[in-house]
Amino acid sequence: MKTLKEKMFYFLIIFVTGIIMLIAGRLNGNDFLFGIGIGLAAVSVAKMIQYAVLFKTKDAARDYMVASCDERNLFIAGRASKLTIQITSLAGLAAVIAFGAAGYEDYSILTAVIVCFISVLYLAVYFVVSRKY
Amino acid sequence: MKNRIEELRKERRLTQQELADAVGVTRQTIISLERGKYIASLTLAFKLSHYFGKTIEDIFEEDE
Repeated sequence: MKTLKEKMFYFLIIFVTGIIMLIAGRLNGNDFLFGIGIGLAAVSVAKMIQYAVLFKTKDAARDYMVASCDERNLFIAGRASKLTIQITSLAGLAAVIAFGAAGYEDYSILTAVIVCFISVLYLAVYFVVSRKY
Repeated sequence: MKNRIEELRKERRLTQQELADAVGVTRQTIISLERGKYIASLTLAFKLSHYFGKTIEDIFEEDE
C-alpha cells in the first residue's frame, strides 16, 4: 500500500506533466494537448491539497490509510468496477442499435468499435491479473 | 456464513470502532460482518481469531 508521501509524489509528477502539456499545447496552438494538460494539472492539485490536509491531522491520515487498505472497501471497488464495465458495454450496445436504427451508420460503427475495444481491454487486463494470482 | 463477532465484542465491552482499530479495518466493515452482509477474508478471520483468542471455527460457522 502506497503511503501518503508516495501518493503526493506521484501526483506531483502528474502535475508537472500536466503543466508541460499545457504550455506545449498553448505554444503550438494544440487545444487537445492544452485541454488534457489543464485536466491533469487540476486533478493533481486537488489531490495534493487533499493529501496536504490529511498530513496536518494524524487521526485523519490514519483513518485514510485504514480506509484505503480496508478489505471491504477494496471488495466494493472491485465489484463497482466490474458492474461499471458491464453497464458501459450494455449502454454501448444499446447506442449501436439506436444509431443504426436512426440511420447514423458512422456513429453506430464507431460506438461498436469502442464497445469491442473495452471488452478486449477487459479480457487483456483479466488475463494479466490472473497470471499474477 | 454466521459469526459470533458481535457477541464476542460485547463480552469484552468493546465498541465497533475499538474492534475495527484493533484489527485494522473500518467500523463499517465490522458493522457489515456483524450483520452477516460481508464475509471476512482469511487474513481478517485470522486477525479476529488472534484478537479474541479463539479459533476461526469458534468465531465463524458455515450455514447449513
